[in-house]
Order: sequence, then structure tokens, then C-alpha cells
Amino acid sequence: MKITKAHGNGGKQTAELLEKIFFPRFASAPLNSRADASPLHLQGQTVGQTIDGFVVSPYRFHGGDIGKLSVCGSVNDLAVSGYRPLFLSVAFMIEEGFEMEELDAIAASMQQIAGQCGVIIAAGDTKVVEKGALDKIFITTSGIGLPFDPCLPSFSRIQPGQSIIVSGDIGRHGACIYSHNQDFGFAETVASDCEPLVDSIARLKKAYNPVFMRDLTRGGLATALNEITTGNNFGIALNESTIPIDAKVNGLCDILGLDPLYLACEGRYVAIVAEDQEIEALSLLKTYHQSAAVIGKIVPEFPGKVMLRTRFAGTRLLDMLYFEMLPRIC
Amino acid sequence: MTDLVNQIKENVAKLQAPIRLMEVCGTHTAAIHRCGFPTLFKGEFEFLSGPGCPVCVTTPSYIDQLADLSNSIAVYTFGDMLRVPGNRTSLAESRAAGAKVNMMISPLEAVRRAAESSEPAIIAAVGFDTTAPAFALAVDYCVNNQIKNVYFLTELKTIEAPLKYLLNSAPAIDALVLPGNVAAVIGEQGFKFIENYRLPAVITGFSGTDILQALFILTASLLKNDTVIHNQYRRIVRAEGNQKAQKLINHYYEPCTSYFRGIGALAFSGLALRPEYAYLEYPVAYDVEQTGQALTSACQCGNVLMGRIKPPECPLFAVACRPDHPQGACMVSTEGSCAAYFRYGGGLP
Repeated sequence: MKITKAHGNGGKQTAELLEKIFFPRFASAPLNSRADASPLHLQGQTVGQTIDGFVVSPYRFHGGDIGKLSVCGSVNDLAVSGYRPLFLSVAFMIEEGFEMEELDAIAASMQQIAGQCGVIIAAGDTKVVEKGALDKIFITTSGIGLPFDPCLPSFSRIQPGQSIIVSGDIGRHGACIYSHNQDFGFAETVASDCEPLVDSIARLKKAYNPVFMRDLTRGGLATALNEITTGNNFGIALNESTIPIDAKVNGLCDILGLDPLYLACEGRYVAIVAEDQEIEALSLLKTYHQSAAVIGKIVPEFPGKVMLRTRFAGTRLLDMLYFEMLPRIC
Repeated sequence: MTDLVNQIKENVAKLQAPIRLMEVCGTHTAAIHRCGFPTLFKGEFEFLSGPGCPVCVTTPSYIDQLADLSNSIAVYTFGDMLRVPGNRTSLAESRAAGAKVNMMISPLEAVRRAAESSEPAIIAAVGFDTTAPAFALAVDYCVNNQIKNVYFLTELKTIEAPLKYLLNSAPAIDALVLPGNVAAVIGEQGFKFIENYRLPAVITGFSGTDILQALFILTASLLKNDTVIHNQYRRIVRAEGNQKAQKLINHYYEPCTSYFRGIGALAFSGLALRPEYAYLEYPVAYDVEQTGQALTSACQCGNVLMGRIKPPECPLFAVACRPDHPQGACMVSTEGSCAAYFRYGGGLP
């Protein structure tokens, strides 16, 4: 059997690749945590480590570029897992013929976002390959950080009754990249939501200590929520009418037959908080994005599954992404 | 919204439930399930899917043909065709093995892209009445701009023949939901033949609200015993349809026999390029013997497409046949009824 693009969509087939190949081969305590950043225990200290590869096409898009994306990606993975990002390592893979000025512009956006997040780029590597061996530029970043506080977010702290908050309207990054890749003749594209989440998460963590957080990347909201329920003894009940989606994103999805619940974000996360804290936690998140919303609850019914109560008061399953939906988005 | 739902439920209470309702088009199937109507109307409606999903009715041998060609010639196709299994392979698998398979957003865009290079290219022309004008426009572009390197592999279909075939088989259905996108092209007049079959039908749009209005109209019709073709989608669909599109189709295409997965050959169910434009058709010899054949003997796609069974009644459903390893096209297409049941949970436990 051959690898197809569906194996990279962040959904069901990616999960299958992990289950069949990587988890059996690389089984280790940190990896088995299955968090966005793995906990490493070094001489009595817990350190979070993450890594993320970026192959987005086009490498420059409305609202960012591959450099900004690559720093945000690792920084956000650390932050949602409960770590303050401290150091990044960066590997550049560049196709021969790439413009030096473009590379400098990419490095400049990395410098800017790293500075904004208080992260030091501490190690790097550069490879150049012959023309055609890759598409222009790919970047991999790996980051380490220390816990914001000793109480790390964890699957084991999730309980029925807790509330699920999304930090802003969903699907902008996916919609942005999709419209860049297709010549629709639209005057403007949707701007990507690509942004660092450290500040928002640090404040949320300190004030309301969410039991779990996950950033919405490939596969979007639906995939992130399914990753939370899969294999666990609770379900998620979502309320469709409360899920924030910008009218432009919805319009694009209508035209293209895409489902915004599966569209990638690069600067949004879900936080699970105690029910009695949902109002305060939401108002904190609204200071970053007015569109932040409480979208559902952890429930004892439907263990392992995500159920969506539709705008029409029907109920349906919200499954993981099964199909390739997008060109290279991250 | 709640008012409309309540009115529908009041109507159903006066009828013999469940009302067996067939949505002809796969886009309706997906929308009905996405809106959660099978749970909202559990016991009140049974939603059965019809033969109107172009991906689902495309034959395995057409897929094989395209996949073979893509090894040497660039093929442009709509994305939902990529994972449909042929007898030997799918286009997605061919692409992974290095074949030249490109996704297109519209046939015209694909033709323009393909014409930029002088390499030969094939456009996979698959679709029903709704999509046919878009392919006719692409053919028109090739003719007017004397494009020499772009060919079509035409497998276009029209809805009338399979719908007649279905209704002639006297299926156990009480009412029909007709696709608004097809009607936008062929008009209300294009569905008039259904009145001969004495069951209510409504031309409908694809939003949840459109579908709820259709359910209300159909239940009211059943109460009155009327068998009129209603048009809920008046904001788009005219009685005479889109005559410019019809003219374009008739200019470039003529009716032909075509093959439906799980059903077989149906006369006058397809569109072929007229002889004077046939030079744009990529010349391939079809393996007619195989065209109507199901992929595995146990696959029930044909019965699902005819509304004889619901997807969970197929022995392969959710066991051997899942979206990540589909056995039949109804599980592959995002508009296939099996995929809709699997993905959205149907009526749920």
C-alpha cells in the first residue's frame, strides 16, 4: 500500500499511520502522552518538547508566511500543552533557485514572532536541494518549554459537565490557503488566522486553569475534538449554532462544498474549563477575539464520540476528517 | 424554524408514518444528514437516496480507463472522483504512484490550465444535467480557441432516464425530493414526466430551511392527495429552466446510452459529443462487458442507489466498507448515501 495525500490530512488516515507505524516503532512514555507537546522528565524537572514541519503552498499568504507559521506552530503546540515556550530549533530545506531576499523576509517574520513570544531561536540547520526535489521552501521547527505551573492540562482531568470554549472564529487559515491556490477571480482572500497564542493561554491558565487545551490545526475543530474523545469514556455535545464562523469563510465553503468544521486554523484553540468558570474564561478570551464562544459540553453519553446538535435541533455525529480536503495548508 | 418543524410534525401525525421519501440527488442526501433530520424526524420520515450522485453511478471501468490514461497523459478531474475505486485502482492511488492526476474546480479552468502547456491532457467529464453546461462551456472554449492538446473523456448523464427506470420498478416510496440544481438547468418542465407516476414531488434547494419547506409541501400534498410537481426553489428555478444552458448542451452533445454502476446500461441516459465535435473526445475502446458490474459481489451500491435498501442494511456497511477503505462508490463520494450514513450517524442509536 502506498502513502497518499490523505495520509497527511491530519484526520483518520494520519491517525492510522501513527497507529500502524510510528507508535509501535517509537513507543515511549513521552510519545504515549499523545499531547501536542510531549512531557520530558529531565533531572527532576518536566520539560515540554514539540516539533512541527511546514510545507505550506504558497509560502507567502494573506496574513502571514511560512516563517510566521513555523514559529507559531511550535510555540502554540507548547502553550496548549501547558508549557511556556522558551527555545526553538529551526531546519530550512530550500530548493535551488529560491530568492535570497525572500528567505530573508521569511527569517524576518520568524524573528518578529519569536520576539513577540519571548522565544529564543537557539539552533538551526540549512539544506539546499536540486531544483524539483521539493517545492521552494520547507521549514521544520522544534521547541522546548517549561510548565506555566505544575498542574499540566491532561486528558485525565476531563470530566462530564465541563464546558468547551473556542478562542475565536474557525477555518480562516484553511479558507485563506484554499483561495490562494485556486483562481476564483475573487477580489480578496480571507486573511489567515495564523498567530501566536502564548499570551492568551498564559493568562487563561493562570486565571482559570483549564483542564485541557488543544490548538486547531489540520483537520480543524472537528478533528481536534475527535482527538479529545477518541478512546476516552466521555463524549462531546456541540451546539452548531454557537460555533463562530466568519461569513466570508462560510461563503467560500458554500461555493466549494467544504465543511468549515474541518478547515484548518493556525491561531485558534479549544479550552475545556469547569462549568462555573465558563463565563469568566470566555470574557477573557473575548479580549483577544470577540468571536470566542462556548460551543459545547463534555457529556457522559456517546463515549468516544462528538455529537453535534444542528441548527435545526437534529443531532448527528461529527466524525474525523476522512478525505483529503485541501492543498498543502501548513 | 421550530414553527415549520412543528407544522411538518402535525401533518405527519395525520398520515401513515413513516413517510418513505426519496431524495434523488446526493447533495440532498448529504444535506439531510448534515442537518440531523434523520434524528429530528425519527419514525416520521424514512429518507431513501436515489440514483442522482454522479460519482456514485460512475462505472468502475471508467475509473480504470482514466487511471490507465493518467500514467501517460495529464488527467483533470473533480476532486470527489479521486478516491472512487475502479476494478483495479483509484485515481488517488495512481497519483500516489506518480501518475498525472490534477484536481479541477471547473472544466473551463482546467482547459485553460491544460492549454497553457502543449502536452496532451484529458478532462474527465462526469456529471448530471447540472454539470453538463460547464463541460459544454469548456468544449466551446476548445472549439473557439482551436485548442489542439485537450481532450474529454465524456461520461455525462441526464436524470430523466434513471428516474424513469426507478419509478417504473414501482419502488415503495411516497414522495420525491427533486434536485434544485438540475431543475435550474432543465426547468420545472424537465420533471413534468413524474406526474404520470402519481406521487407528489418537490423541486428543492439545498439549505436545511429549503429542505424543511419541501417536507412541509410534501406532507401537505399527501394530505390533499395531490400529485403535482411543486417548486420550492422559485428563486432559482424557472418553469422553462435555463434555456441558454440547454442550447449550449444541445449544440455540443446528443443523447446516448450510458452505463450506471450497479444498474447497467440505460438508453438515452447519457450525453455524447456530436459527430462534428467528436474529435475532442479522447479515443478509447470501452470494455462494455464490465461497465455495469459491481466491484465485489457483496456490494449493494445498486440497491442503495435504487432506494431498495438503506446503507446499514448492506452486509459490508461499516465493516468491510468504510470511507477509508470503500468497496463501493456510495461510500466514497461525499454525496454518497453510505458515506452520509457513516459520517453523520444516520438516525443514531
